[in-house]
Amino acid sequence: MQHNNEIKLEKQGEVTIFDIRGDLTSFSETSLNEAYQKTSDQDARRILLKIEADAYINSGGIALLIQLMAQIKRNNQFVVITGISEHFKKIFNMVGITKFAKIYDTMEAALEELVAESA
Amino acid sequence: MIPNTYRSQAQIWPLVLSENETVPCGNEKVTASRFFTFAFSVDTPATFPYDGGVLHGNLWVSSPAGGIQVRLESNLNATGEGREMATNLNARMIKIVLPNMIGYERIAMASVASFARLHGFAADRIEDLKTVVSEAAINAMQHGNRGRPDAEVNIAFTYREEAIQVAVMDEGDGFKDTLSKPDIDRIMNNLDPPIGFGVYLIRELVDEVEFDIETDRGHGLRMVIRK
Repeated sequence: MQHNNEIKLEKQGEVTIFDIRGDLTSFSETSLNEAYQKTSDQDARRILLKIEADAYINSGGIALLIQLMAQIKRNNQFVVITGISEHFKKIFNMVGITKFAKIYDTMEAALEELVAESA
Repeated sequence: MIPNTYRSQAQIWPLVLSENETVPCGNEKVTASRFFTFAFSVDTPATFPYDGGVLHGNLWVSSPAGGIQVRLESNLNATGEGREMATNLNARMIKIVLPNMIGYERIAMASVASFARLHGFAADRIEDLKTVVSEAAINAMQHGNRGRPDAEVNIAFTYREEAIQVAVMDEGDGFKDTLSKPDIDRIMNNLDPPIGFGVYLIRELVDEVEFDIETDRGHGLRMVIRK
């Protein structure tokens, strides 16, 4: 069975965008870690996690996201999230992810807030 | 008069029954409802005991290509006086047997989503259902069956009284719900491991849940989601 997941890194100003294509499950560990390693090597301070609206996210993916956010917090970086469906907004809120990363409906709003918050 | 017992020495049915397609069932005819949208073949004869206006049936179907089996246990509601025995398949239960392989929980998610749509569930409740079925199936594969490749996960969806009941059974020894809610602050500070989200989501998203049920199909959980 295929477990499609790809993360493309993009720079927009001082923001590094994790363009997460596909699903977030326990099989995403390598791609998330590699993306974060590259980001850290580039000394990125502001990170936007762009997740597809129809992505399948399970508890394994949630655990990985929380571990990623723990690293981001330890490294004094800022992170926000955009793109996810209403269902996963609810789930992220339930598990507490939104305490550490706000969710925005649009890329523009996320970028604006990210720049403002970390300025 | 309709006999008390109606039996079809049914032939092997057509490969695919599309909605409203009429197929022979013994000497009578049965009209397939929208439930037959999968490209599965019915691989065993069907028998329909007749009981006071409702025909109870068991249809076994299987995927010719993969290891997925789907069994529909249907109530066949006889129409009119039943002279024509033209009936609509009115499926109330779907059973799925999954191989013990992470990723195949998506089969169950897609099935329960279709089942819930057919029974008029709202989009947000369908998303809740997909999540809890996924988490329960993953738990069954990883913890109940301990990743054994020869094990199976049995899942049954039943619609009754504006609710869907889901039973997810594995071949393990059962599970005691002793996990507390994951504390994200402790996890973020490396004081707790990042575990327990699946059980937590199940508890939060369903209306009822029992984590340690036992049947002839093994141990597992039963949960109910209302519309």
